[in-house]
Amino acid sequence: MSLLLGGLLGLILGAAELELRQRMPVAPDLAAVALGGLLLQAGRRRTVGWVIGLLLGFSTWSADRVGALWLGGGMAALLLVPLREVVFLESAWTQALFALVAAVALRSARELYAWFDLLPRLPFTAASFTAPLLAALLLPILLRVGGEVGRMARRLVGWIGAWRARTGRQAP
Amino acid sequence: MMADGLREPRPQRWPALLVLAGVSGMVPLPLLQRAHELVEEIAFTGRGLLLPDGAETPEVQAAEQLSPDLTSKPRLLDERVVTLLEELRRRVLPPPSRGWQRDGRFGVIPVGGGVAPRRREAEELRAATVAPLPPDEPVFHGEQLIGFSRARADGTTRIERLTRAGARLLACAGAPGRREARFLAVGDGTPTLRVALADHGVALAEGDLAWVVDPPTAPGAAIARDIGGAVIGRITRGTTPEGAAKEEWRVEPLVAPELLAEVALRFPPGFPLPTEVGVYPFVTALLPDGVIDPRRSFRRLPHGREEGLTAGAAVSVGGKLCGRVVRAGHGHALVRSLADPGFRVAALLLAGGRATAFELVVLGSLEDGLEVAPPPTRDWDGGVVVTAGSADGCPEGLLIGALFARVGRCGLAGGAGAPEGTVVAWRLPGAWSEQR
Repeated sequence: MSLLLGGLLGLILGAAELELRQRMPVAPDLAAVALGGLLLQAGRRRTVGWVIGLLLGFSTWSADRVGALWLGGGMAALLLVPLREVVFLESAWTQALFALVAAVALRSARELYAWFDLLPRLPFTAASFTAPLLAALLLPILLRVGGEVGRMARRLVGWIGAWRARTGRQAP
Repeated sequence: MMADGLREPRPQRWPALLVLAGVSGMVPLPLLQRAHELVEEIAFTGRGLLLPDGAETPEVQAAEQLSPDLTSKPRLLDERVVTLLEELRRRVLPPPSRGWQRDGRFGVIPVGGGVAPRRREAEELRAATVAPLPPDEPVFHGEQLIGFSRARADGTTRIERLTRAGARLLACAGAPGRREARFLAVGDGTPTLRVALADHGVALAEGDLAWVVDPPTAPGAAIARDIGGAVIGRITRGTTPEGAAKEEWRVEPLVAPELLAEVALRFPPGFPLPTEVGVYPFVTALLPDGVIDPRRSFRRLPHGREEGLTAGAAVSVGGKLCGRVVRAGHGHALVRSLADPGFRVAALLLAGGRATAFELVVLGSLEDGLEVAPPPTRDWDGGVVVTAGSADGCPEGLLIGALFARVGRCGLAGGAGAPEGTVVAWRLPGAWSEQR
């Protein structure tokens, strides 16, 4: 199930990044954002399915081979999963580092494939540098916003529960 | 017993397994490559099912309404290219007056099939055609014997060159009718043949023509190998150690088989020629690209495997190569455009009255075209490049463009931009062949 959900997330993120790149000169590497976010929660058993599915779904929007994405995801996981034990995961800097490392790992894997002539070598452009940096910037922001939204949702549920208890009526 | 909170965390092995899965995509094993392609195509099909975009546009509906009459191959190729190729093909066929065709006929088959000439094996040529080929028949280029067709265990046919290590051929050299020295031409895996057991008393000279002599057959033998008189090359002096008492002679082929675009193969009676079996056109429409990287150039087709499209199928617009299918799912296919960096296709350079086979590799873009790797010949400037036939769905004769020299670089004019005309995808023969 997590594989399918991860695949769906990858498909949606790929479509979103394509849309962003068509409208803006620079766009964050959304696969790296999602990968960094998933690796921050790597303690969960379902993360594996999510990561494989995410990269597989994202590969349908990429001209690169799925193996290159899996290699990049694996490299990022090899670095970041042990790192979880020694860093403070709630820190924005840590979260930014996770996204940045994920983005760099994905690009390194692509370069490795290109080195073996399995993918074309592409010139480095400004977007090659801005996309990982934007990903690093975006992940802490998304996690903060997500956290706030979750907190507000929980507070709202609490208010509704209290209102129902006070009035003895069903919520509208 | 240790409390849950104090338990040592289990080491996670999945990152290493994910790296292994990624590395497996780099291993050149057909089974692994096919597995990766299958996974990609399943995911690509999933994308088409979940996010269908552009599949019902007016262009697609118009393509589906097109008459089946359009799917006649000659009308979909550039007439000038077809005429030029036919003219060049006549030089590949051996003259009928020599009688080498016996009761059959000669057919021209493309060789190369997407493999760069420098990487082509010294011992065999790859036949770039989907058509079945007869085994144990001679292969010619004009009057020169190149090799023989041999059956593989998997049912396909390869072209074994005369220079294969261990190949032996009875031959003769000298001046025909005046000075003839018989010898055994022995292949040793090098580009030339070794002259062995030459007749005593007849001197060989550098530059002498060497030709095949039919071996004597037993009286009443059903089949005789009738290739006597076919040229195999010219005599050259071999490299011997200093002070060697005996000279070494070798036979150097007149044409380098590495650069041949096409060869002629003898077909027995009733065996269909490759021109009678080939890839089939299919009228479709091109959709905007659907890949993220703006440095790449891709398009999509609103048809996929359900219509017989597979990876490798060429896509042409008005007789001009537009790209090749790299990923075919159900309901849509991803097309790599000619302008995409790293695009490769087996091509023929038509220049100076002859065709040269090479692998066209797009390196990048120039102001007035595309930058490509130069072909392995000198006189490529101004030459026309067309596709060579290949076994994975590319017909021969799709126009690619014209080469031009630009300060040490090789440019391809007409490769960039979007051509206009009927969009045709070329598919391999299958159950759908008689359909739309």
